[in-house]
Amino acid sequence: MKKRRWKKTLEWYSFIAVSLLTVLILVYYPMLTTIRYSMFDVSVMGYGEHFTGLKNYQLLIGQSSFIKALGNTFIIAALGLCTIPAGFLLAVLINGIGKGKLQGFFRVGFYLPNIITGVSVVMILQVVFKANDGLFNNFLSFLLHQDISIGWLSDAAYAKAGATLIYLWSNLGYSMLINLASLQGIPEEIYDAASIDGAGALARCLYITIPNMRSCFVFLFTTGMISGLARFTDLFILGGNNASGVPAGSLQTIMMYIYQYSFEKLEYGISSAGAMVLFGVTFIFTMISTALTGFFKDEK
Amino acid sequence: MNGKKLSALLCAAVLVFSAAGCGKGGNEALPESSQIADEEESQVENMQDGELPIQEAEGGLDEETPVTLTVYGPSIFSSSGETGAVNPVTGNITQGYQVVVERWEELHPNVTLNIEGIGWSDWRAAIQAAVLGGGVDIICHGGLLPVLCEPLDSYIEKDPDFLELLYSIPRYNTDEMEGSTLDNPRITSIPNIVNPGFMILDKKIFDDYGVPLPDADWTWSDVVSLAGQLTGTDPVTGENTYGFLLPNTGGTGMIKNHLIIASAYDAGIISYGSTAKESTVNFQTESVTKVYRTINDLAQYCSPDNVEGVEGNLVIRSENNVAMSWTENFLRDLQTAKELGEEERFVFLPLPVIEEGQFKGCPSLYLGDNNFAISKDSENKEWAWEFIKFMLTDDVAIAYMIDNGGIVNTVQGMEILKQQIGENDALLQQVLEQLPSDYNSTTNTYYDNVNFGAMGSYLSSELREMIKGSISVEQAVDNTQKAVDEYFATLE
Repeated sequence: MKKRRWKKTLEWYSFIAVSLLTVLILVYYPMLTTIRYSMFDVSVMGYGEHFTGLKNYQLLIGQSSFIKALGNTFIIAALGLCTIPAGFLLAVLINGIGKGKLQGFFRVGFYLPNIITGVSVVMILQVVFKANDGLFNNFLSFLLHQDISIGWLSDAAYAKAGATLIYLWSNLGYSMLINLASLQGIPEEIYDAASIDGAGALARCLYITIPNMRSCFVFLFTTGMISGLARFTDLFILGGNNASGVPAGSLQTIMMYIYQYSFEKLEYGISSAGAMVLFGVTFIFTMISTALTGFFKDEK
Repeated sequence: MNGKKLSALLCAAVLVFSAAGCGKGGNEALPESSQIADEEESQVENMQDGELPIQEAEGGLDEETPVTLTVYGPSIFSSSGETGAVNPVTGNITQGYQVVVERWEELHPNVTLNIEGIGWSDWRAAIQAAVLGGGVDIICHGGLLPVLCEPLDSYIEKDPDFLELLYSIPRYNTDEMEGSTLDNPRITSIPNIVNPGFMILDKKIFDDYGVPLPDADWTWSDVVSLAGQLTGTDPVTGENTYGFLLPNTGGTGMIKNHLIIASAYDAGIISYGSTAKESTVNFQTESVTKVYRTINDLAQYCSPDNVEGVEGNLVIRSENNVAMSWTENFLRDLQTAKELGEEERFVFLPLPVIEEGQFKGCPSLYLGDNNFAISKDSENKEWAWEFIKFMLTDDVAIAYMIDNGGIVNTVQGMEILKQQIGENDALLQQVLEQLPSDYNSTTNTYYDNVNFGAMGSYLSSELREMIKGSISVEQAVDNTQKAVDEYFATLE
């Protein structure tokens, strides 16, 4: 009997063995290698290394470019969170249309940019946001009745805003979709009861909609922060395949810093230390947002 | 904390680790690689004592055992793919590398040629990943990653006849290869294509403004002055024209503008020691400031899109509105102009003359290349060397490279090219002959694309900010120096 149960258990485990092995080899092994490399002087992997202790971390902290990259990462990731309220507003609007073909059309329409390759998006929006005769500047000039020629992606003072606009354009659809799903999950009865009690639209939104969407906001905040902290591709392309965060280092994130030390400066040890810092920061954010959901509160 | 929370915490840890992308591929072969490096080191030492590599000593190329030779990297093989590509400007079709594969396999039926051409974006990262993955024999443009390459000195010494055929054999300053130091480097690669720099002028714009074309002995001050005269409204067409276009303002290639003009003013920044740590890099000199200032002056006559980095290169086309630029794609531009029937309109001139130093009077220096290197971990090094020779000597391979706009780095290649470009050949030869024999644009006293970390990224970034007017010339110089100093601090 015991043998049969053991055989059965083995059979169950055999189904997850491949996935487990893949995770171990492709996630945990590189993860542990990175921790190890962060304490070694490595130029190119596989071509010589020696132990340096915490020197790579010490070096990172002493570099103004790393501190700047760290700051940029936080600011850019935080600015990217504007997709949450924007997505919420859009979801409220689309929800107001009522279920039907029109709502389906808008849902698909707003989600479309999300499936376009990042490279194409950047290439196109680079022309839209250019200073001289760019579409966005022309639109602003038309609205404000004065000539606007801001280099939204080429001027260091505006580049973070420009990069956020690109992020917003690409990710608004996703945020809208999650918000919409959550919005439609709120029972209609609550709204009906509130209406009978005399609650207006604003009161219904503040006291029913927003509290009921807390878990949705936390989810978007967590995933938004994680992807925002690891932002790389679009900013790298914006800089002309340059990881120094063009213009003037204003868009250099930690990921770009890591890339620079991995492939331009060929210092894997330092880049691994940078990766560990990024891990630490992301982990802290994840824990904070998990705590916000009430996950760590004692179950009654 | 209960089991549920613990497992959730673990999941979160995995999630953030994955998102942070903090792990590169595994490194199971680490001790093995070190062992290989040690073995190769002793092999190199033996070779230096006059012995041949083991494979050669045992009887040279084996024409019977099946071998797969893998070629990986950017450059020539990615330009038109396997079966060819259509030139978007002219509509003409260029040959694909299939012709090279067929020719090779006809000559060496036991050796299967596996070509994996990649684009230029992320090429360094892609090469490192591919070589670490194993199985790469020839690295296209691998000369710039010396740590991955086999030194080629002994191969060249064994083939004096082949050596005679080559135009350029650059020695990139590197200490990342056994027996090589920055001030006494070994050969990392053989260029298959050389890219000398030329100025390209739109004669129509000059004619419209009534400005005569300059002579070959012009200076960068002349270029600035001419650019000023040719910027404005074209008196004949009424269209806006710009006197100059600074190539590559949208990327790291911006540094090439610095490199060329620095050679004209003999504005060296690097003094090589045997290692990077023992070398010095100094941007804060009068001559370097003059280089930055010249770039800034030229930018005054460039289009706003060019300055912003949106428009990066002069495109040969009938609607052109740029009077002058420089190009490293001499042959491709010439071919395009010819195919468009605009051969008379687009005129090529040598780069402005060098005003200071040893090479005073010669055109400003620029010689880029596309090269082939042999992977240090290749198990088919002799076949890899054979492939390099094949690419530079076989008529089919040469014709393929010329068709794809490459100036082939051999006498034979130049001869074949001569028949195609006619009188422009004299100009090409004049420029090539005036280049110092050991010059290359990858590592030299004016700029270095191999050592000193991300110097290129910082230099291009500062130049871009300067021409946009965000910072002054002096600030750009200081900022570049600051970035380089920070790199040197990591070497301490």
